[in-house]
Amino acid sequence: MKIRIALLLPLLALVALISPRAFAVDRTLCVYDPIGRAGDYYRIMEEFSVAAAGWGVSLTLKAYTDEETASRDYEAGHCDGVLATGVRLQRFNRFPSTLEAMGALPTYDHLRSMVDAMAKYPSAAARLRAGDHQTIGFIPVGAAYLFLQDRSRDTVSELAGLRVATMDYDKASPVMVDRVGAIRVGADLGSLGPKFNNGDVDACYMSAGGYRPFELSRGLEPSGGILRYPLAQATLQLLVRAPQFPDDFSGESLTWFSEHFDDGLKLVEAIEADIPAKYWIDIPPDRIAEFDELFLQTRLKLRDEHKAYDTHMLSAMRKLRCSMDATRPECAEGLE
Amino acid sequence: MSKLPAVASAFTVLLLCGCSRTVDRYTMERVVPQAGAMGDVDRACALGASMGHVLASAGRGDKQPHLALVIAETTAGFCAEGEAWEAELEAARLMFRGDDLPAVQDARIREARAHAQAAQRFLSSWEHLVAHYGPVGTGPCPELAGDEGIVYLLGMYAGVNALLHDRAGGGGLGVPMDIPVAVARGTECVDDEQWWHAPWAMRAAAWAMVPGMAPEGVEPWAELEAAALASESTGVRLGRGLQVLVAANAGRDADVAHALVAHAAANDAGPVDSTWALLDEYSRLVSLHEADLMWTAAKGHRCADMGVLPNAPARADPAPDPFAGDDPFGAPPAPPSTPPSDPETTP
Repeated sequence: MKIRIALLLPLLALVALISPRAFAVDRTLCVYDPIGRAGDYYRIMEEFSVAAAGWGVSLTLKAYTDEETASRDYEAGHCDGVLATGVRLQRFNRFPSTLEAMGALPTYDHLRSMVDAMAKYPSAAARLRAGDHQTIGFIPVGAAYLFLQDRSRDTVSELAGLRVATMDYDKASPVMVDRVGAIRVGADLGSLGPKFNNGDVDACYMSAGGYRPFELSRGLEPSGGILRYPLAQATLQLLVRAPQFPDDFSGESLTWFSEHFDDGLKLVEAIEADIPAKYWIDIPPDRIAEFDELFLQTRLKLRDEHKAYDTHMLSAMRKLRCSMDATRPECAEGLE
Repeated sequence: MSKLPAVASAFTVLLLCGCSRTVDRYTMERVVPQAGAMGDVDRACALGASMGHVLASAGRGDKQPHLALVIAETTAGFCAEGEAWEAELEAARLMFRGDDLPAVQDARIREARAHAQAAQRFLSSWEHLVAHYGPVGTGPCPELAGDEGIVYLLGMYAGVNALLHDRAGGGGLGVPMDIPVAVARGTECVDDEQWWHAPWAMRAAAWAMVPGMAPEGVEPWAELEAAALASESTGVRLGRGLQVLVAANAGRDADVAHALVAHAAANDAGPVDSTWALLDEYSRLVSLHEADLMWTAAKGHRCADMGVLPNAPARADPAPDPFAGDDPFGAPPAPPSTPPSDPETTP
């Protein structure tokens, strides 16, 4: 028996030698998904990891339900990449985060075109890198809408005096809130729902995905509504330390996310369709211009005074808006 | 020998009467104690999966045997959940090897389908719960007679689990995302002491899932740990299983590692509630799956022992080194030799 085992040992050693893991590179990604490992965005990242394996990179995904912790862990070097919202990753590179600029992309078609353009044009891809940090993917997570406790206050002038919950880490919303003469009330993801539902604030902004988990119907009853005009397009962005990945990885990745844009969009559309129709407030076409002007002035202030928005991205988005609708007043002005 | 075939035959007779309340009563008084005492999740899930349609046929319109169906659909969900777990492990194993990406993709698709089926069954359980007792977490608590607390508890667990499986399966069912909030409030309706502190654990788990849901000053993860710890001595360690499930989902590796070790130790040391062995075993399987997943990602195979982590530090060196100094297994030290005489100095 001892002899048989002795004969097997070299064979086992050979098996160990010929079955190494097939990847050239092993990397870890911190993945934020509000639902965690069971969430839709984590699932999209699992699909991405299979594609990445085909490009020679083995990705270990680490789920986070807290976005700030995910981005901090990336910063601390606990992972080689992070999936988080653009606004959260603003400090690494303003160019991709400006995709979420206030009112810059009025529809999901606009957003899709921008994501496609960034995958297609080298001029954009170059700006997606800042130092070692490179943005290599975008997933739509839904437009942020204004939730109002009083649906009758649906014009720009009527927003004056409202108490509006603004996220502590968001630089853009306080500027808009100040501009319309509303009152800022600081909040975070944990306190936003309770503040709206308890009447501590009159309005808050959020993607449709927050409607059910935070039971925002409680704050919307009896006479509230949701302005159906995107304040901003929230995206999850994949940011990596470029030197840790093969040279052609970012291009492959941007293309992959561009091709899978509609996977994320389907989820968004399903969640938005789940909100009862009675809550939606459609802005009449003749009043949309006043919101567009508010958003434009807010963007300019954030670009020029707060240095929060990237000039090139704002300009690209204006070109896109004007290519899709040349009658917009801004197309002649060219302020962005 | 199991009494389940006899139970199934008796069921058939009962179903012929077409009285949903009788079926509910029989389920609660005879089937639940039988299946609950049996620590065999496979058989319980097979029974649930096979009886679901039969039970549903006993009712007319709104008058269905909802209590029986909460139990049947939840246990049926365990089958599909188990299939999803196996596919998930297979995908992880194949990813570890990295030499067959289409097979990884195939395993992932299989996993998603099983998640979707689990979501369907768990959602059905939740819907029967709501149909029988009314909306969960709003208004006064329903009156829970006898052991109905377990039905309420399982139905709520099924609701949260339906949501998680639906998202993992692609969200095709659109399970309402406000179920965790409702469940957090609904757990107040179930006696915590009687049901192994599972209501407490479930409440804390729901708080941990949705930011801002916990009362001011309450840290959900600390609360979940307290509830899980309290469950250890009850014989049904559902609290630990829930802790592992929710912490793993949130990527809290340290919490998962702690809970796995604690769960394994409690299983070794703690009592078993023979009346509810099924749920204790199910809790063990929830934790075991997570341990298997950790091991497969790290080493390419399942765990041999749930309480040992793949990245556990090597055992410390024994100190002091018993072999320091003379070799205890070597030849005895040579006797001191006399120095050779110097011929030149020898007189």
